[in-house]
Amino acid sequence: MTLEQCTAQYLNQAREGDAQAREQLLIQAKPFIQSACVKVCGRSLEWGRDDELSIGLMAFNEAIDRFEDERKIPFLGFARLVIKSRLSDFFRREARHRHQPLEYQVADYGPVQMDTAQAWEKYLLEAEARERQEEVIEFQKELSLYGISVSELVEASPKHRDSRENLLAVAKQVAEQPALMDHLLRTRRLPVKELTFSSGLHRKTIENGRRYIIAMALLLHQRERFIYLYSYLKLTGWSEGEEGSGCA
Amino acid sequence: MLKGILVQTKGPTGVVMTPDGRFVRVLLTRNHRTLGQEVTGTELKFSSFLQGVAVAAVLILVCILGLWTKMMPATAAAYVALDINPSLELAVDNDGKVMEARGLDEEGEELLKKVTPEKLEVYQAVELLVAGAARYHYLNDTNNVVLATVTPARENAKVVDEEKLEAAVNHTVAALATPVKVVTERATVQEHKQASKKGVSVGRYLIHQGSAKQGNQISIDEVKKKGLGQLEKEKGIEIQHLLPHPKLKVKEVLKNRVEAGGDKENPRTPGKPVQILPKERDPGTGQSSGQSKHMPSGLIIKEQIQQRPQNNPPQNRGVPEQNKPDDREDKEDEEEKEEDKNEQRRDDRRQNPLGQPEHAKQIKDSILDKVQEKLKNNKDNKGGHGSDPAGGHSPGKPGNGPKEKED
Repeated sequence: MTLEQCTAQYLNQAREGDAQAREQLLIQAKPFIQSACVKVCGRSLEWGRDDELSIGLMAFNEAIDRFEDERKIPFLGFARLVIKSRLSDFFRREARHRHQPLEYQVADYGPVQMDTAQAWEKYLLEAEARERQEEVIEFQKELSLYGISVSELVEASPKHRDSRENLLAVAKQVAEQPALMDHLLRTRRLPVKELTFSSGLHRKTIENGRRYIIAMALLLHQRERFIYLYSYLKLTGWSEGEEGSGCA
Repeated sequence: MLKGILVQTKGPTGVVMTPDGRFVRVLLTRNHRTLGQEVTGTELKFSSFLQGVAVAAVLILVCILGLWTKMMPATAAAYVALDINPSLELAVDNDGKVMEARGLDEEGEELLKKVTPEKLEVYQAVELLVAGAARYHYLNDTNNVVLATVTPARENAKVVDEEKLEAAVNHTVAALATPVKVVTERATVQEHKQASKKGVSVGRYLIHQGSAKQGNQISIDEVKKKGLGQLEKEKGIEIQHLLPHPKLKVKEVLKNRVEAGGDKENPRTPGKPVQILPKERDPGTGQSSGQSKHMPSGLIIKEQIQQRPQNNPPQNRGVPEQNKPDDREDKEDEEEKEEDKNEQRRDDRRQNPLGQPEHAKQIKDSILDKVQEKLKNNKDNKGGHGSDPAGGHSPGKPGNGPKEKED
């Protein structure tokens, strides 16, 4: 079960006071929290040894309460923002953490008073915008590793809904099957032969949509890295439809 | 408008990723330029309306082109200008049908009011018109020349066959009481254009040009107003000499058909350019005979020389000719007598030289003499060509066959 599916299933229950649901959610979110914390701290962290992870977990818990749908921020993105914010606070308190990334020192200069709604709001907006921007740039960089530019992606993305859904299904297949994804990450090429076999699409179709499939597969596979992009995609029916069943 | 996460910006445009997983290049609104934000923009492609317009435009174009190609050859397959005195012009479509007939002068228009050649096959139409002209007395003793000029709209287009056209005219003319000279000519599109610029038929235009070339000035007004027969008589010309195209055969058929008994000529087969009929009744043309004597006689001699060694069996000539006169055989009975006399005379002349090519020169001389003599005799010689004994046979009366065989 992916974290997104869990979130979709348990988030509202947890917010309504279901302790068990919240517990489930926190357990499921542990790897996500860890990765978020690692990213902020810039070193490897271990459960039970590093305080940062505890702070991250607490921040995630806080995020569950503070999350508002209307913000149009995906929950995980929001949670990550809260985690980062809390960690920044923590670092400031613990002057020994001087190795933390510079941007958080500067950005969070001055006391961030979580209690003042205005300040929190401001922080949230700025941080979110920054994160989104970073994410997109990161996505671009990731694509460039595969020799794909955004312009190429525009040309490669199918205009017709049917053909697009076909390619998205292939991308999903790649993202969900470790063997295929491993092949893609390792060789930076699409395992076309296997895909023609499993998808039933023509080799030409897959080769023509190669760039699009790679981009989408990366996006779907590294969903915790590209939270905003992924969550934006998630709005479409095809991924939502499977969430419920996947979670059950 | 399209909503999506901005993935890339470049000037006023950017690339967004839409919720349904499309990457689209959009024209951005001014305010939202931050990457990763959800932005709205207009998709950079032809709108469906524009696409529709484009498709419609293409369709219309195709339609127009289709119609164009359908119309164009139809209007312009060929033109047949008919000059009797009424001048008129028939536009012929690809199938050889008359699509439009217009009078080039008042008389032509009048004639067209009385006769409608539209939708007929061009040959039938010409027959009808000539018959009509005769019936309404456009074609009479003074006006006894029919000039049919074919202008194919495209080079080498064989929509209207001159031979057949001539045959058609002759066919009609043969039934008339008056002798009529029939000339067919071929004109080019340029000539046709220039002629219509000047407001005359192509045939008349060619005559005008030809006359200018030969120093025999006929003004365009005269060409326009006067009937061809009238012109010939007044100017002392033979229109076929004025017609310019040397590569084109100018054929003339003279029909001599007098109630009192005359010689009758049928449409000729190609390659026999000249015929002369011993008897002509039109005194007006008499003037021309002197002038026209020289050229045609030369022609005849050539023909004679060619024919002599070949030793043409008379049947050859007889065969094609026998078909045509069928319908008027009844009328021809009288004529045959007259004809037979003529034949006999010629046959006599020919008997010796036949099969003896070494005598060709003598024969030539004797023929020339006789032709010239004949020309003198026939003051009213209209065709202006020397009498051609061989040609004289050609009417191919059924009665002639056996006679010639004896040669």
